[in-house]
Amino acid sequence: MAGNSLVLPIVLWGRKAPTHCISAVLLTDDGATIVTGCHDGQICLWDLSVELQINPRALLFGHTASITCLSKACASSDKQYIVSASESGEMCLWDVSDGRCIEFTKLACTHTGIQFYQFSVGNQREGRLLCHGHYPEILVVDATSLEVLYSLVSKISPDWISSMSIIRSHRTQEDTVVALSVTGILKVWIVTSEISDMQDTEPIFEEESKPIYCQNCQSISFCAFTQRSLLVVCSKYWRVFDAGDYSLLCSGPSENGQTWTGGDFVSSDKVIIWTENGQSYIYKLPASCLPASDSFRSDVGKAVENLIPPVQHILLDRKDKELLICPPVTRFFYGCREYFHKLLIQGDSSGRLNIWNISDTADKQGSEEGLAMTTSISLQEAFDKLNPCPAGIIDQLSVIPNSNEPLKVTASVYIPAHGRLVCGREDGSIVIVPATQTAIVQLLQGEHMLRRGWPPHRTLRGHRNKVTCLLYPHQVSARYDQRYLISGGVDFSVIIWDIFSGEMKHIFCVHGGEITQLLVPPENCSARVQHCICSVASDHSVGLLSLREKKCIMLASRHLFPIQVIKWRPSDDYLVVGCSDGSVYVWQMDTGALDRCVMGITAVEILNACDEAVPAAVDSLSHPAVNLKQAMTRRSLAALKNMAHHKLQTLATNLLASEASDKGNLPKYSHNSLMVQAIKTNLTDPDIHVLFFDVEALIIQLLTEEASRPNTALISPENLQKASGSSDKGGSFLTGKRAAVLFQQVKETIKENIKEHLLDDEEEDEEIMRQRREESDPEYRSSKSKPLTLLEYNLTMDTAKLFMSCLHAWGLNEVLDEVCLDRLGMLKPHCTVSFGLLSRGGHMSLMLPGYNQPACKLSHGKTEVGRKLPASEGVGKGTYGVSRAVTTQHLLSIISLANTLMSMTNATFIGDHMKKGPTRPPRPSTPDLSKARGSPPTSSNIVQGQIKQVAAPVVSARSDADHSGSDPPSAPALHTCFLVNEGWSQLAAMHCVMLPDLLGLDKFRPPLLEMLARRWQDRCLEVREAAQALLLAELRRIEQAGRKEAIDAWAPYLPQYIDHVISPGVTSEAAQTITTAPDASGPEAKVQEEEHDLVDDDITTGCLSSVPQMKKISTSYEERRKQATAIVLLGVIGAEFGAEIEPPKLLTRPRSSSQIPEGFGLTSGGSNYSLARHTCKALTFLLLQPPSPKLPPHSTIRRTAIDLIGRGFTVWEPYMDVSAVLMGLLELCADAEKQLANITMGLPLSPAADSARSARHALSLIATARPPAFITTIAKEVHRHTALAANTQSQQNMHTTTLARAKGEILRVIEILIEKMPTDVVDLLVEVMDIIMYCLEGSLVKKKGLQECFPAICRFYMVSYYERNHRIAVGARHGSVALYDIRTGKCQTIHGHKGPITAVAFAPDGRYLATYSNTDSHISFWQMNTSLLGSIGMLNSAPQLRCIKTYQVPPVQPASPGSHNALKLARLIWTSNRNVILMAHDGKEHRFMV
Amino acid sequence: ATVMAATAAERAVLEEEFRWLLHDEVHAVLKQLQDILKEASLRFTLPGSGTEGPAKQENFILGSCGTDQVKGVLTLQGDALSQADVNLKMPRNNQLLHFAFREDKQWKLQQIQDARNHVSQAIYLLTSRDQSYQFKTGAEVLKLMDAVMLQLTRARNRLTTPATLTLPEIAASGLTRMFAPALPSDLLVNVYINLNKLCLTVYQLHALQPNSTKNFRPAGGAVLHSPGAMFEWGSQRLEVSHVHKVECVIPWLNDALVYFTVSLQLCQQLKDKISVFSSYWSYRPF
Repeated sequence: MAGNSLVLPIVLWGRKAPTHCISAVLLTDDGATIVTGCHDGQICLWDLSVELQINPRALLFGHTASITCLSKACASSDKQYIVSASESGEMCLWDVSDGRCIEFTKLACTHTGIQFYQFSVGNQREGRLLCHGHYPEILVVDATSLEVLYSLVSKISPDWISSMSIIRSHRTQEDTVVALSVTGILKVWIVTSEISDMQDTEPIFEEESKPIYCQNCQSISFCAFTQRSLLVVCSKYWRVFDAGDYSLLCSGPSENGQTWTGGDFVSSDKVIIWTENGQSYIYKLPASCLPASDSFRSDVGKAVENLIPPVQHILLDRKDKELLICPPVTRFFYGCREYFHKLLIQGDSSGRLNIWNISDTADKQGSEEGLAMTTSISLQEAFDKLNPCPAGIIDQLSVIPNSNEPLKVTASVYIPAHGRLVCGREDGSIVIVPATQTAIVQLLQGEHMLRRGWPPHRTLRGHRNKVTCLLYPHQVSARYDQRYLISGGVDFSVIIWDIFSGEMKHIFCVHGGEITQLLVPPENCSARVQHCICSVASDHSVGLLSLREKKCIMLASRHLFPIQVIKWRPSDDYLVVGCSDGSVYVWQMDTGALDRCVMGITAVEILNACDEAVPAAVDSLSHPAVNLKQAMTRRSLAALKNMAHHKLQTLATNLLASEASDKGNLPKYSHNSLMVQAIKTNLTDPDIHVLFFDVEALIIQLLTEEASRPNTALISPENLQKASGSSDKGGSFLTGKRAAVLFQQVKETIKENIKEHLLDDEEEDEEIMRQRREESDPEYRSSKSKPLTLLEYNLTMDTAKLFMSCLHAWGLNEVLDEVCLDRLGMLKPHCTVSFGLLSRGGHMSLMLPGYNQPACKLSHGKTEVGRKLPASEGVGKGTYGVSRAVTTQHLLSIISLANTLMSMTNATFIGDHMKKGPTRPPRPSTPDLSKARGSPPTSSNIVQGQIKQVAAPVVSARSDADHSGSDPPSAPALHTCFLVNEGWSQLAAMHCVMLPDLLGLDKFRPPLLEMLARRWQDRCLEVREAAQALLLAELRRIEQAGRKEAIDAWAPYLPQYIDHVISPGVTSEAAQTITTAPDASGPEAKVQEEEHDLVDDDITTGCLSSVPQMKKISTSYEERRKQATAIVLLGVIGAEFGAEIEPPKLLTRPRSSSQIPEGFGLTSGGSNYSLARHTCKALTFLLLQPPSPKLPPHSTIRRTAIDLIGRGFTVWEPYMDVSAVLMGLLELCADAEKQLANITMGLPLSPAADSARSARHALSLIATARPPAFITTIAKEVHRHTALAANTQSQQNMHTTTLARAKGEILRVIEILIEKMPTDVVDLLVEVMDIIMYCLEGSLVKKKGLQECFPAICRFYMVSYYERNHRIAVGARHGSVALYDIRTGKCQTIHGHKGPITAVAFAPDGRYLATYSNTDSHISFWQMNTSLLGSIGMLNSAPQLRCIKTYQVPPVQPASPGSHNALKLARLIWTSNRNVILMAHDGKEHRFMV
Repeated sequence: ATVMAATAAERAVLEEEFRWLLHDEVHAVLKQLQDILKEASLRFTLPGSGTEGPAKQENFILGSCGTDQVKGVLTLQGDALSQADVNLKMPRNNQLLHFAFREDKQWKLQQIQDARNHVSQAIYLLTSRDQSYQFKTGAEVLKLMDAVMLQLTRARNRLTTPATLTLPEIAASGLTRMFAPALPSDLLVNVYINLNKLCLTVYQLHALQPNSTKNFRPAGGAVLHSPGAMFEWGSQRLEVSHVHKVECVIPWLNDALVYFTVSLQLCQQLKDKISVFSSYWSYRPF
């Protein structure tokens, strides 16, 4: 995931398959996937069926240079990891199943070969990658973290290693690495010994070094069948050596002077060798090479050159070979999948894979005709096979009359502020379309399919040949005129357009080559340059074109090599041009003079210096993948900026909504929920468009719009009508000054209906035709006359519509599908939508069209062509069977969005606010409602518990409306509103819990627990809730066994924290010293820093710093992330399924002991509880660790810990320092009132407010789960605190302590407790009163009385307050009465009863106190010392209390055994100063007199 | 219609021209490139190529135009330094320090070996497309040129941009352990190639007091560290007090660099010639 936000890409591939010039091939161990790397840096995954049919599945983006090698990177059979290396030194670790990039690194040197090797230490297995390349060593790299561990080096004539093989010898139990250097020297290293201690990073020297005179070695391979021989293939000959002493056994020349590129053993007596142009030959080895034969090694030392082994087979090539532009790549693989297979796989420059199955060569002895190819497919063929064809972004607008290929889009730019996509095409025209609408046309079915010329668009014509680049400068900097669009073409010209009028403003013709790039100079350039754009052309020239002066102010030409990078040094007025050969030219922008031209170190230094000066203006031109990466980086930065902006906005929105002030002033939130990014896999390819949906941004936009809507709508029906009326006009959308101005401009320009002056003849004809048609066809005209404005439709809702329609699993629940189509306004997709998956660091996996076609069924695909839309097959529900990561992201997105839409009023995609057109009359509601109610097949308790129910205000509004009755139209409106929400609720429910049942487990890939766990406390509330609901649903679904598996998988990653929970008693210095030590590791800090740039509150923050006792400290991001994930996941499992010390009283979730996972059991039962303890330690550590740069006070991980401590308190309780935890929580929510005051919506909170919210929630949960623990702990703290307060020295800081600041919070929790668990409170009533006395301001109570200050406590009969002398009497459980004096804060206790006190009451004059206990059935009267002097005199001494009378009373029988009734058994009511009534709950009265 | 006819005739001419380019011009350029690069690779005396004995030794006397506090005589044998004699006049007490390589040791200049290997890879690529090979498309030529240029740029860059090392990396490198008598602990030595020059840098260090008020900031990687750069080595914090740099031009490296530059330009010119045609046949393998 790029950064932390939930971003989902959807790709529109277009009909032309991306260029895939294959440079490396790999077959995974399970034989199910072929991986190919290409010269442009992409990696393609191809599914290989058992029948050897191939179907391309996904394209992986991330490398910026040609892939040099691929290797497997994991030995286990259940997960398939591969590692790829590129020409520029990058290495990436990918998960083959979903295309996630797990880890990546970059070294200065290029690897040309990688081999996986598994070391084992005891029963522990460590994967290693042995890499060689343009360096004289073999690097040993950890296969999970990609860190270089140590190297294998040569003592004798070290040189580059050209190829390498690992030899496993069963005889000696010793593994050796055999490598051949470029100078033909064979090197041998023994690697088994190194595993004895893993910390060893010393290099290993070679065992043997022997020149074998092999020039230009291409490959070296070990015979796995006999384990006795080595095959070395050189460009002009191949040789077989004895693997024992490396003596030459036989040698073969090349066929017809061709060049060999590699070879391998096919069986013990056969080798296959292939050539540079794709030919392969199988040779039978002579007997002297076969260990099984008697004559083995008989020829050693003789002239073996004469003995040429015979060719046994020739592998036939395709007849209709494409023209190849570089040599194909061939590899031989053998393995087992259902049956034993031996495959020769070849990938070539046209993106074609050829497979020869050579396992059956043995029985075919006739070598004359050769062996035919088994399978062959190219990427383009796979694209062509599909029906419907893979959609391009504006295919419907690019139809050429006599061709079935649409015009290719050669350049594009997205203008997010307007939601428009600008596409330049190969014929020189530029089309401007609304991005969501054109994507809807391409992806979804609907009435728009029938409209011609839809979506509304504008065509700009001016270039004479293809458009090569586009730029909308206003988007980069606001200093540019927002009307200007700049385009560059292959016709050497740069054109300025006015996008509102469609007018061509100016043509620059200054370059002598096609324009390759258009750039914007940075902010702090001179005023003149600020209004320029920078153009780069293929004649190696750079121009500064002034948009204001309409002239070229500088042309820097005569660079000898293509321009690779443009940098700026505004302070010195320099333009720095970096060329592809490494030379750097420094130009003065003002004068246009060449300041200097340098090479080498100086050049590098100049470029670096520019980066320091203007970090944002890095622009690399050469490679599309680089651009993509930077674009993604920038995009996430922009997203972060926007987040900061939101926080302000949230406040503003709430304020405005509450004051119902003028919404015209509300700043419009910029539309970045959708980003359209055009990518090219190769410079010569047409654009592929990727739509990035930012779920979080979309939710925020939806909620902001909801907030800016008149929010009184729900209160009264009249307002509701007004609200719907205002939304007719586009509602909130047309607000904002700028929008209004824009709208005006657009209107004017449309009236003028400007025609471009560069229309050619054909175009004019078409124009006339169109006019005629418009005149004849009124409907057409009406659709045409629709102004070209994009402000007509609601972009946010349109984005949501497109996105939800693509995500929904269609065809699983017909009733729900119906609801989605009719009521919610979603549309069914035409064909399978190609989604993608973003990983860290701009790595991305995009599904290829037809990814879900099972490889073996490709042939059947053709038979289905006739049928129209095989809806049941593939369309829609497909994405939930692709991979677990994809499922997770999609479910998260759809559930969080459905919840958001549910919380909005009438959030349907049908209706006036979506488009102009006849409004659908609201349907009669009641039958529909009942049908809808009945539709979900299983509405189990679980569903009810997890899915957010339809928002309560809606229901209440409905009942309001029903009651009012006077306003008939309002009722249906409300009904539809309710129905819409009901629909969203069903949609969410289906995706949350019913998918596994509906799809069947074989087609459903369940969501990944760890991905959900990482979002347990996502910063976006809706996403957070969705993640929690999904995770809990999934944990329940997988049941006991599955949970145990998850625990087993993640427990090893749980960090073992040292036990230093900071109790308040311990001085904080002690804690500091423990934690600072591991913090000071230098390189790690650097990693953290760079990480912070993009991932502002990622879950990993602060995890490593806290792990001093790990067996090895790894700086790997993935490692740290796993630790964090383990804490969260185990925390969730523990909290939700762990054994509780005693079942809490409030929650009635039964947990049978058999369900309790291993490791979370009870301590007493002798079961294993270590996991619970470790998890608890980790959680408390995260809560209590003092804030540091690595663990900021309000990070996600800390918030997650808070939440989980609260949820699983009953499980953690025995292992944690309760008072420390409670104080920690109180500290966090001490200022909650301030932060949470005006936040009501689901908009994201500031991190501080968010953790306050979580802490507050956690406190409430702890208190209600374990009231005694909470009360006693807090009471203890209060006592400790007051004792400290008595100490005069520490008087100053008393007010700043946590306890003092959190008074309000404590009271809030006590109030909840009194409300929900009165029995527990009564049990500890004295402690509670202690707390309350501490928390309430004494003076305030004196002034207002207890009743007003804290009414909740006064509900108890055993509490009585006498306002005149400010005394409170509290009857305790064990029969004593506590008497508080508010003025002094002192308390005295008297013992009077043998059992719990049922009621106490002061006499009206305060002279007497009556107490009653039902247990001993006595009523006692106590005389207070209430002389007039008492109030003054008693300040320093305790009041005198003595029992004056005791009466025996018949005991009151509780009405029922319930504990609640026990609290209200009887009360004491003073009727006068001397008369009291004991009133029982059943109405019996006993009168007493003092 | 006249425009169309004109372009048709034009196209025919262009196609003819392009064919000539593919069939004749490309091979001419490739031949020229091969000749130049073979000449360049001859400059790197390849020790492993023949068994005619060890490569010849060349002595270089290193000095700087300014002060003569450091003098060095380095002996280059192929890509390895076989002998080194360094004389250092201590700036404080004018004491003369002398240290030399141990007899049995050689220090490989990886930059030279890498450059040589890249050149031979470029030559290998070129020879695989000899006179008899028929180029069918321009893309094919571009691809070949890209591959050759990649190797040539790498070869040149290895010589023109020496590795940037941090001071701990220099301290840990094997070079410091090559000398007899052993280098004093307050000296660091680095040898590298910069453009056509063999450079020797000697860093004099002094230890920072642990309680020093100086703001300790470890220096990053650099080709040449300046005085005042700090680093941590072992448990000690050290600061560079003096830097001495001496250098000497290696004539044959100069030749090789010139050959690289010339051949890179030849490649680029050929690429440009072919690219001109691309605007005429967009989206076709031309």
